[in-house]
Amino acid sequence: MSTSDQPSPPAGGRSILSPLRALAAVCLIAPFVAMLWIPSFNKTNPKLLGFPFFYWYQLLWVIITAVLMIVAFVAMNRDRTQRRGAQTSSGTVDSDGPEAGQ
Amino acid sequence: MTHATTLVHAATTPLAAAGKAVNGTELGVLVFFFVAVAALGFFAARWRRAADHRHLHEWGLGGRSFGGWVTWFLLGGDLYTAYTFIAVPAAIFAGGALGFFAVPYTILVWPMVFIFLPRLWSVSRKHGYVTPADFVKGRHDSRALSLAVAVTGIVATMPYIALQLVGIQACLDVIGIGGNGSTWQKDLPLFIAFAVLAAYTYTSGLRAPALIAFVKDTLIYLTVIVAVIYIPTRIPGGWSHIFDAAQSHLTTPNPKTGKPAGSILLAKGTTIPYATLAVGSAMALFMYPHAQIGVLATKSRNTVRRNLAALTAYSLMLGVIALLGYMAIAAHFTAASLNGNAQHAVPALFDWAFPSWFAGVAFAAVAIGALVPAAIMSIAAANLFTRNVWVDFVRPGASPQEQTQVSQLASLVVKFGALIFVLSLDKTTAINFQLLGGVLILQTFPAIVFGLYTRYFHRWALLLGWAAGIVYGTLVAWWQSSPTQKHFGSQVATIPWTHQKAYIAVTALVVNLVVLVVANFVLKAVRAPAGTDATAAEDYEFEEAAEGTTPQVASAVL
Repeated sequence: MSTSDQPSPPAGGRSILSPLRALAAVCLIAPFVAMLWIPSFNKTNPKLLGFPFFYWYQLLWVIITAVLMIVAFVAMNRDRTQRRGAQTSSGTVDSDGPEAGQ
Repeated sequence: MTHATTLVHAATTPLAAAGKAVNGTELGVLVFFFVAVAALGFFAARWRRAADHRHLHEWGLGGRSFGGWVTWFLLGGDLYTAYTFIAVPAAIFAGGALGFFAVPYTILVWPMVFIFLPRLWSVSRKHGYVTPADFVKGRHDSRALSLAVAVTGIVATMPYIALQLVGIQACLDVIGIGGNGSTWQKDLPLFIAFAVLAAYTYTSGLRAPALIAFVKDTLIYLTVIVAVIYIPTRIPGGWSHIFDAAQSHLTTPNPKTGKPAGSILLAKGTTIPYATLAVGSAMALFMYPHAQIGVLATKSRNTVRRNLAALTAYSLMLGVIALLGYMAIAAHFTAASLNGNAQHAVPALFDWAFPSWFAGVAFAAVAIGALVPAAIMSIAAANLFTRNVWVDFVRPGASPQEQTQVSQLASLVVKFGALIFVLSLDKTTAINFQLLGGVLILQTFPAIVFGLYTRYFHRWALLLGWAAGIVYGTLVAWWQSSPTQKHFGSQVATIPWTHQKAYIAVTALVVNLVVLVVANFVLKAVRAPAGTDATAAEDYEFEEAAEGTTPQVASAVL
C-alpha cells in the first residue's frame, strides 16, 4: 500500500481510530446488517396498521437510518473539533483552515 | 431500476386509444404549473449571479455556492426522477415484493456515500475538478481511464434522460392527449416541453433545475401525503385489504405461463437478487454524473455531510410511492385494463382516485419531476463531454468561456438526442438501455471510489477491470430473455457455475475486481509506470476557509 493514501499524520498522539469515529462507523454499518439480513424480515406477521412486517419493518429502517446518520454526523464533527484542539495545543499547523459550518 | 416492468409494458397501446376524452381540468392545471416553472427557469439565470458568469463552474455547477436547503432540494429533485415515480410502483404492481428493493436501496445509499463523498467534494474543490473524470485523470494520471469514466457516464445518462420523457408521456396518455391522431400531433406536447426545458437550461445552467426543484419537491410531497392518506379511504377495507388484494392477485397463476406473477413476500431464490439489486443500485447511484454534480455544487464539506443525513427523508416518500402499485391492484386495475402497460398504474390510479383538479396537480408533480433531472443530467453529460473529451482530446487550450459554450451546446445535443431516441425507437429500447446503464456505470466504482483512498491499484489495471466488467455485463444483459423480450429481459441473471441469480451489475463488478487484482499484480511485477499523482493526502480533507466565500482556489485552477 502506498503511503499517500493515509490521512496526514495524527498530531498529539491521536490514532486514526477514536471512540467517536468507532461510534460513527457502527451507525453507518448497522443499516447494512439490518437490510441485508433479509430472512429476518421476509414475513407477514406481526402486522402493523394492516402493513405486513416486510413492509413496515423496512420503512421503519428508513427512520432509524436517518437517526443513525444524524448521530454519525454529530460524532464526526465532534471528533474533528477534538482533533483540531489536539493539533492546536501540540502546536502543529492546521492545514485545513478554520472549521466550516458549525 | 425495475426489471419487472420490462416484462409487462411491451404492448404499449395508450389508454387514450380506448376513446377516452381529454380531461380539460387536469390538462389546465398541468399547463399552469408548466408555464410557472418555465418562467422560474429563465429567471434562475439572475439568481445568485456571479461576476464571472461565463465560467464553466458557474453554468455547470451553479458557482459551487449551494447551501443546505438548495442542495437538499436539488439532490432530492435530481435523484428521485419522474421515471422512479412511474417505474417503482409499476414494478410492485406487476411483480410484488421484489420491486420493493428500491427501499433498502435508498436506505443504504446514504450511509454508503456519507463515507466517501466528502472526500470527493474536498479534492474536487481543492483542484477545481468539475467532473469525476477530472478527478480520475488527476489522481491516476491517465487520460484513457478518465475518458473511460466520462464515456461510461455519458452513455449511462442518455437513456436516463430519455426515460424522463416516458414519465411525462404516461401522464399525458392518461389525461387523454396523445395516442389518437398522427405521430406529430401525439408527440407535439413532448416537443414543446423539451424545447422550453432546453432553452432555460441553456441560459441558466444548473441554477434553473436548482430553483425548479423547490416547486417539484413541494408538489411531490403534497401529492404523496394526500395519496397515502386519501386513497386508502377510497378503497373499502383500507391498508389490510390493499395488501390482501395484492397478494391474491399476484399469486394467481397467469393463464399463459401457468406461473404466478409474484407475491407480497420474497419467494425462494429471490433473496439474493433483492439484496444485490439494493446494494448494487446504491453503489451505482453516486457514480452517475447527475448525482455527483449535486454534490460538487455545494459550498462546503459540512453541507455535503449534513445533507446526506437529511436526504433519507426522500426514501420514506419513495416507500410510500412504491405501495401505490398495490393500491392500483386493490382498485381493480389489471395489466389488461391498463392495455398491458404497467407504467400507467400510478397515473391511472390518480386519475381514478382524485378529483380532476388534484389529479392535475399530481400529474404536474410527475411532469415537473421529469424536467429537473432531465436538465441536471444533460448538464452533467455536457460537462463530461467538455472537460474530458473536448478539452482533453480536441482543444487542450480552450478558455473557460469556450468551455461554457461547448457545454451549453452539448447539453442541447444531449437533450434532443434523448428526444429523438424516445420518439424514433420504442420505449422498450430506452428502458433496456437505462437498465444496461446501471450495469455500466457501476464499473467506474473502483476508479473513482478506490481512487479516493488509495493509489495502490495501477491505472492500467483499473482500465482493464473496467473493460472486463463492461464486456461481461453487456453480454450477460443482452442474453437475458423474457416472455416478451428476446434480449435485456431481466436485470438479474444466474451467477456463473451456480444456480443462484443475482443483479448483473454486481456480478460484473466482481469480474471487474478479479481482473483488477490480477492485472495489478502483473503490472506491479513488471514495474509498469504508475504516473504521477496530482493530489496530496491532505486535499481529501480540504475545507473552504469560511462558509459563504466564493471558491477562489477553484477559479484559479480551472
